[in-house]
Amino acid sequence: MPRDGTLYDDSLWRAQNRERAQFFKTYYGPLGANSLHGLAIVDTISCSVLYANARFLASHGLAPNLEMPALCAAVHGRGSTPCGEGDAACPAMVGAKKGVEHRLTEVRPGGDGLPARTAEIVVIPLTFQSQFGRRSEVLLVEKEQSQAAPATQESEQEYHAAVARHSADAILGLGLDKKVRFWNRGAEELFGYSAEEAIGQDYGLLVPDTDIDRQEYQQLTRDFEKKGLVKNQQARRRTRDQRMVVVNLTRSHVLDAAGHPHGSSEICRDVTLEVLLRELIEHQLRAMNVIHEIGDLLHSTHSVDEILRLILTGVTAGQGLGFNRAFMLLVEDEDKDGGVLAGRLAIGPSTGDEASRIWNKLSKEPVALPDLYSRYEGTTEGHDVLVNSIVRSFRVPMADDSHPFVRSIKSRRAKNVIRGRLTDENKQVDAALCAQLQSDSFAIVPLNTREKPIGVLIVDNLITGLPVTEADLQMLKVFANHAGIALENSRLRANLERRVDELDHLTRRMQETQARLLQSERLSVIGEMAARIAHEVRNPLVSIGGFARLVRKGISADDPRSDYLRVISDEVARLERIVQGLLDYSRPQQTLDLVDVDVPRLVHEIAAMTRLEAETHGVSIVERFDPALKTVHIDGDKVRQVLLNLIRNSLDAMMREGQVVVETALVGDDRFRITVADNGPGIPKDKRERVFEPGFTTRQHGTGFGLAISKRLIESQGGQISLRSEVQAGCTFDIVLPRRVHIEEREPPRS
Amino acid sequence: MGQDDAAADAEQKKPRILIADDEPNLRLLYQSELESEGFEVLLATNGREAIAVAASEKPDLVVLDIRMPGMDGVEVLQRILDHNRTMPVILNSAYSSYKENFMTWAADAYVVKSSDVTELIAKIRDVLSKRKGERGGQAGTSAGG
Repeated sequence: MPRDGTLYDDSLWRAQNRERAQFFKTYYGPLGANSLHGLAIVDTISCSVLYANARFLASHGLAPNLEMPALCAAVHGRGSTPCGEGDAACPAMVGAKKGVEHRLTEVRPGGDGLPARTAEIVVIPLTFQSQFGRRSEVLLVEKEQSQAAPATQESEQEYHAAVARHSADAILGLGLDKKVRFWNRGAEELFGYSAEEAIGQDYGLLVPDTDIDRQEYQQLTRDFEKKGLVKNQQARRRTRDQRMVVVNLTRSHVLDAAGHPHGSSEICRDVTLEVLLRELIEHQLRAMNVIHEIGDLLHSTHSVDEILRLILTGVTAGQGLGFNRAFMLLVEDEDKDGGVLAGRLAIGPSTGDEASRIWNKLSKEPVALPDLYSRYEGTTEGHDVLVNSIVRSFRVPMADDSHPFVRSIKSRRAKNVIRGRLTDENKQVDAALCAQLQSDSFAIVPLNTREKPIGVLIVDNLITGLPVTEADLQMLKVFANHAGIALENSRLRANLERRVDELDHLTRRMQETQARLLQSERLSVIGEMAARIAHEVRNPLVSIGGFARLVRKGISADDPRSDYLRVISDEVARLERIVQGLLDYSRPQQTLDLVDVDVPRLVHEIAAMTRLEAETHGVSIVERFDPALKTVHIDGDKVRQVLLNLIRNSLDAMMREGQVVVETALVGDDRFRITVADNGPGIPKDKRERVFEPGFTTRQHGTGFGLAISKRLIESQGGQISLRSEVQAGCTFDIVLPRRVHIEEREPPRS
Repeated sequence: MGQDDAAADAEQKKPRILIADDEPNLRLLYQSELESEGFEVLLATNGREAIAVAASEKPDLVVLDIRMPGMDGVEVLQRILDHNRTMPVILNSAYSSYKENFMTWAADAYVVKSSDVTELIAKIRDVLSKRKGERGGQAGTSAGG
């Protein structure tokens, strides 16, 4: 359990620790091996050592080839009992609890096969956010102090001199003229000058010849003159072989017998390694944070283009991994010969001038990555023309196993090319590839999901000319993992969204159909009643109106009754029009609703509509389209009703698993066919003739009118429907329709 | 020729129209209207009667209601035409939808029932004059012989 009470997945955490251990080994291995100090990095949440150098292992009595990560408890000789929170015996746990950098002195009495020692331990806690939660690691730097001088010194005075001479820290004595008067063994080791060489030289010899270092030294001198003491100041010094070292120095007065200063002493402690390590770790933490931040951003977007742009921004931004250029190639057309690796997007300046302009602008102030992303996004259009034209020139067939990009994807290994040479295979890459990228040193990092390859990321430092280091490669791999997951998520999501849209669309359509059905049912009831009433009312109206007209004809137009009769006949005429309207309205609608219909889409909709039902029967629905057949002019609703009916029939007929194939095809120039075929039990020959007859059914359920109605619906559009069937080999229904149905095709010729 | 002769001749030439309708009020209406328009009117109250009268009286034209109890107008039409292929028939119905029934194509005209009988009378005249034109040629030849 993590100590902050949050839950973490043990196996994921262990996997991440293995990744970290591998990373440290690559990153710090060479540096730590040369160190005189013991170095270790401990994950304090799972209480494991992720990295320890040879010196550290030796001084704790551990095997030099101890496999990492290892239990922290092993270091303390406790077997497998983990250290507790803030465990006083475990500097790492103490460090994690304190949360700030500090030093402590550990005195080990010796025993259990370990020699006695006194060590100063610098404890540097490091916390950061990883993809699995907050990590709390501690860097330990152990400096063993040389053992006290033998107790056989003649005098107290000589003993003091011996202590100073043999101290592991450098101790210098300076005269008032700043000339070296005392130079101990520590100073010889640290600065490389022997006592003979150093004594009599000016202290300035040790100050590096840069403005900053000189100014700092002048400041130090002034401070010392004012206060008489400078304590724990960090400064850079120059060694005999012109290396830079970082020291922590304390300078104080040396007083004569009368109490007057007659010089100064300076104690310098070498902190180069600590500083270097801290800088490296901070750089790494920054990069990890960037990766994490980009991870967050990546998961907040679902557009593939945006994800690609984010990835490339993270790879190239100064606050991120800081490469000069990055190219993204994705696997496309996977179903054709394994697909092709096609260039999609790139970021990077085309010239050094442009690069320094952009980076200067960006590095003026610290910018949060999301801001940087949005800012950079705005500036990419003009700047990346060249790199984008480079990336788009790539189309590498996935079948080309000799291509380093393809090899990288297929082996799931990052590859590094330095001056045209693949470092892992130790052979030259094709010169044409370098020419195409306009660079001979670059790294190839595969983007994969667990199941399949997605693409490759190519990065280089064209502008600075620096090759990509193995440590960079490690970082890129971690980054590529994030990127791969995000890209896959986005694809899955896009898929899901499409499905949800489809489902929405279908649901709406079904609701509409249902509403229409209900409406027409209602209309037919109303219509029937209206027709009956209208008919009953009609004849009396004809009598009333007819006689009114007849009587009116027989009387003079001057007779006032003529007007009354006109009123009667007019009103009757009005009633007759109303009745006629009712009768016309209630006539069954037999008209065709001819519209342009996209056949593949119609078939796809119906397949999607029935797929769920089919899958519960263990039946798959297969769609096959003739690419030449697209839009036709038919009554789509009626054809949809027929296809639904045919597919449902097939599903009912199939007792076991099977498939229904819906296939489209052109027939000649002006007709087309939709075939619905199943591999169910089929229909016996004697019943085949009768399936389209009204009331005929082979099923236990069903009205027996489905196929009869289907036949009428297809024939009303000038089409035919027919059945082919073999017993035990399934049923095949063929619907053939004109590509353009005309109204005339179903109406009888007028007299 | 004397005036009486002329009147008698006109009387003789009065077209004879058979009206078949199950509604007595409508029969009375059509009878009154047609007689006032100078037609001689025969009446039938149902399909069977109409077939019988058409066969025995040989009217110049038959007006058939479609909805009648027993035998409907479409069937009556069929029977009348079976017996006499050239008999002019007009279908008169409350339903305009019967227009689309192919059985009715055999009729010479189709009129939707209305209190305004102008259309019916116009259709009767129209059908008669067409038939007369066809028959007129034949009559002319026989008159000459």
